[in-house]
Amino acid sequence: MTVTVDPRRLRPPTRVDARARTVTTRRRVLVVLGVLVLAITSVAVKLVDLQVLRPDDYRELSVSQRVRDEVLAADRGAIYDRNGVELAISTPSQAVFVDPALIEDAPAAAAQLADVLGLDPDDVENLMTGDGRFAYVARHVPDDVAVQVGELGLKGVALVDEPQRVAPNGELGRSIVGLTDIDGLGISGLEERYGDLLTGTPGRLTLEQAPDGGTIPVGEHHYQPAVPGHDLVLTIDRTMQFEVERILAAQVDEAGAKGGVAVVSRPDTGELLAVANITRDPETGAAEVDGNMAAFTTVYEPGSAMKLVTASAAIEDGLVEPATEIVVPDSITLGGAQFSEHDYHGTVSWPVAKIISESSNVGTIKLAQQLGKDRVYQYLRSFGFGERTAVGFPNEQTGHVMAPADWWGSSMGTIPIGQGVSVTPVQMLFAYNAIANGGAYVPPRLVLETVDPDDARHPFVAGDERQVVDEDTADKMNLMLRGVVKEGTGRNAAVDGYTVAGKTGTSRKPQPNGGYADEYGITRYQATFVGFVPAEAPQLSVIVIIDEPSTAIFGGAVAAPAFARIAEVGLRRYDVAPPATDRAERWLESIPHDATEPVVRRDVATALPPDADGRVRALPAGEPDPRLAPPTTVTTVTTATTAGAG
Amino acid sequence: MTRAEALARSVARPLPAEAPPLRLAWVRAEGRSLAGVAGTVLFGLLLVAVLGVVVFQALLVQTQSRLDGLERDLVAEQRRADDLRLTVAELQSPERIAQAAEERLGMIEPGEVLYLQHDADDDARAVLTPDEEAAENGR
Repeated sequence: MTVTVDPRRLRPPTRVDARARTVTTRRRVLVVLGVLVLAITSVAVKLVDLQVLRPDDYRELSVSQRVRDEVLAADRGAIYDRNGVELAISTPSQAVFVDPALIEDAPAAAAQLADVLGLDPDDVENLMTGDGRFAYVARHVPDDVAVQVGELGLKGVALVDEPQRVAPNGELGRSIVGLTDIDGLGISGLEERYGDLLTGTPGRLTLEQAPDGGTIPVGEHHYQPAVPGHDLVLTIDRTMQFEVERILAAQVDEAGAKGGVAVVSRPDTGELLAVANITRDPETGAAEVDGNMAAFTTVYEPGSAMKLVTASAAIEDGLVEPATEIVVPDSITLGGAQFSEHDYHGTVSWPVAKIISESSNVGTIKLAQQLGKDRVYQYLRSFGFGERTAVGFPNEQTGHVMAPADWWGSSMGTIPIGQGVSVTPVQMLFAYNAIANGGAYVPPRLVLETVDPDDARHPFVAGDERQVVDEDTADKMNLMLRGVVKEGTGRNAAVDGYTVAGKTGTSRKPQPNGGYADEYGITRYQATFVGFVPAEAPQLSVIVIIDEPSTAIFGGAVAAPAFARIAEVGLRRYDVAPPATDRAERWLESIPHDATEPVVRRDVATALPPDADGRVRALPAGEPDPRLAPPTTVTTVTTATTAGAG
Repeated sequence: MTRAEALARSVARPLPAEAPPLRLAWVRAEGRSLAGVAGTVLFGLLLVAVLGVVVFQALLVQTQSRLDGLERDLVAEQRRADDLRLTVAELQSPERIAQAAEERLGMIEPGEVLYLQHDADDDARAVLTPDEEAAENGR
C-alpha cells in the first residue's frame, strides 16, 4: 500500500499557525461552555418548573400514567329457594363508557363503536361530544362484545365491570324475588326489602402499571377486596312454586277469571312455600305470572272465609259449642239492610257446625250478635287482621278493620261474614293457620336464613307467636272445618286419602265507585277456598282466590278444585302420609254427625238464649227474640242477598 | 558487568564473623496491602450484589408477569364459572324441563290429549288401518 503525504504538512509550524490554533481552541471552549451553560440552564429551568412552579401537575400526570386505580364491583347476594336453588343471581357483564375529553376523532370513533354495539352512530357521537367526563354508551354488554370493544383500542372509550341480575327460572316467583334497576338496586319484592343486606361493599385496587399494562413489581399496590352481599335463603320451594303457578293459571283459564292468588304455607313454622299471582293479559288473554305480590299488596273482602273468626270467637268466649243449635231463618235485617242465605232453606235450627259447613250468613250473624261488636273487633285484630305481617313485604297492606265506634248499623251483618272488611290473602291464610296450630298464631316467614360472605348462616328471626284461642277451641273449629269439605260447601277441596279442613268464601268485589256494582250495574265476585291438610296433623295450608270468575262465582266451585290439586302436589312432594292419630280426637263426639241433613224447623222463627245445658231452645213462631232490638225500617232489600255466600 | 566479573566480586566478599541465628519470619507479600484485598473483595461483593439485584429484578418482573397472567386467568375462569352456574340453573328450571319433556320426549300434561298427525315423510305403513296393513302383508 502506498501512502501519500502532503509535503506541506511536513512543514514545521510557524508562529502564525500556533496563534491561529490557540484562537480556534479558545472559540471551541467558549462554544462548548456556552452549550453547557445553555444545557444546564435548560435543566435548571425545567427543574424549577418541575419542582417549584407546577409540581402537583406533574405529580398528577405521573400518577395518571402509571397508577391504575380501579373500583372493584361487589357481587350482589344471591337469592335461593329453601333447597339452595338459585332464584336470582348476579352474572358478570360490562358497561361501555366514554370520556368525551379524551375522544380524538369523535365521528370515526363513534362509527366503529356503534358498529360493534349495534347502536346508532349519531347517538354514540352525541355521547362522545357531550359535556362532562363520563357517559354510558351501553350497559350490561355481553363478554364477547366487550372483548370486541376492547380490541378497538379507542382512546377515551373504556369498560367497567357491572354485574347483571339474572333470574334463571324466568318468570317463576318473579313477584316474590322482585326486580332490580339497571344499576343493580332493588326496586320491588325481596330485592327491595332486603336491598341493604344483598348489596355488597365495593373494593378498590390501586397499583403501578408499566406502559405495556403489566404490574410494576414492588410498586404501589393496595388491594381492598370487594365484599359481596349476603345471600338470602327463602322459605319458598321452587318446584312447589312452579306447580302452584301452573295449577292456578289453569284454574284461572278454566274459570274464565280475571286472575288469581294462591299461597301455600307450613302452619307450624309459618314458612311460605309458594306464593303465586296470576293475571290475564288484556291483549293476549293468556293467564300469566304477575309481578305484583298480590298476596301481600292487595286487599279483598274475603266473604264467608271470615266466618272462621266469628265462630271461633263465639266458642272461645263460651257462648256456643259446635253442637249448639241456632235458629236460622232465611234472612235477617240489621241497620236497614237485609242479609239472606245463598240458598233458601226456610227457618231451621242448625248446630253451629252446620252453620259453618253450610256457610250460613244468618247463622253467623246471629253468633256475632251474641259476641257484640267489641269482641268481634278484638278477635279480628287478634287473628292478625288490620296490621302488616312480620314479613314486612314492600307495599304490604294492613287491610282495613273498622273500629267498633265506626261501625254502621249494618256492620254487624257484614263484618262477621267477611264483607265490609278488607284483608290480604296472607292474613286470611294465617288466621286459618292459627286454627291448624291449636290456636297459636305463627307469623309468616319468607326468609329462612341469610348467608354472609364467610358462608356463615344466620337463621332469620320471625315475629313472635301468640295464642289467639285456646287449643280446645281450635280443635273444635278444626273438626267443624272438616265438615265443610266432607259435607258442606267445600266438597271440591277433598283430597283422596286425606282429611281436609277448610272454608269457602264468595264475596262481592268492591268497585272504584264505592259500591259493589260497576258502571254497568254488574256485580263482580271473588271466590276463595282456604284450609289445611291433613286436618288431623296439619302439614300444609293453602289459600286460593279466584278473581272475577265467570263460569261460576262460588268459592266451592272455582277455588276449591285448585286447592285440592295444589294440596295433592304438596302432600306428594313433602311425603306427607295420612296421620295415624288425630289431635282433635277428644272432641270428635261433640261434633254432630247428622249435620249433613238440615233440621228443618219451620215452626220456629227465632231462638232463646242458651239454657243451662248450653243448647239453644227454639221459640214458637211469632215470638219476638228478646235479645234483638225492635226491627227497624228496611230501606234496602237486596243489598246482601249473596254476600258471604260460600 | 559480565557474569564472570560478578562471580569474582561475590567470592571476594568476606563472610561475617558470626552468622546471626536463623529464624522464621512472615514476609508480607510485596504489592498486596490489606486495603487492596478488602477493596477487591468489596468490589467483588458489589459486583455480585449488582448482578444479584439485576437477576432478582428480572425474576421479580417475570414472577409479576406470571402473577398478572394468573390473575387474568382467575378472573376469566371466575366469569366462566358464573356463566356455567347460570347455565346450570337455567337448565334445571322446571319450566325448561317441562318444555324439554314435551318437545323432545313427547310427554304431555295430565288430562291433555295429543293427536298424532302424519305427514308425507312418515313411513306409509305406520298410518295404515289394520285391514290395509293385513292386505299389505298378504300381498
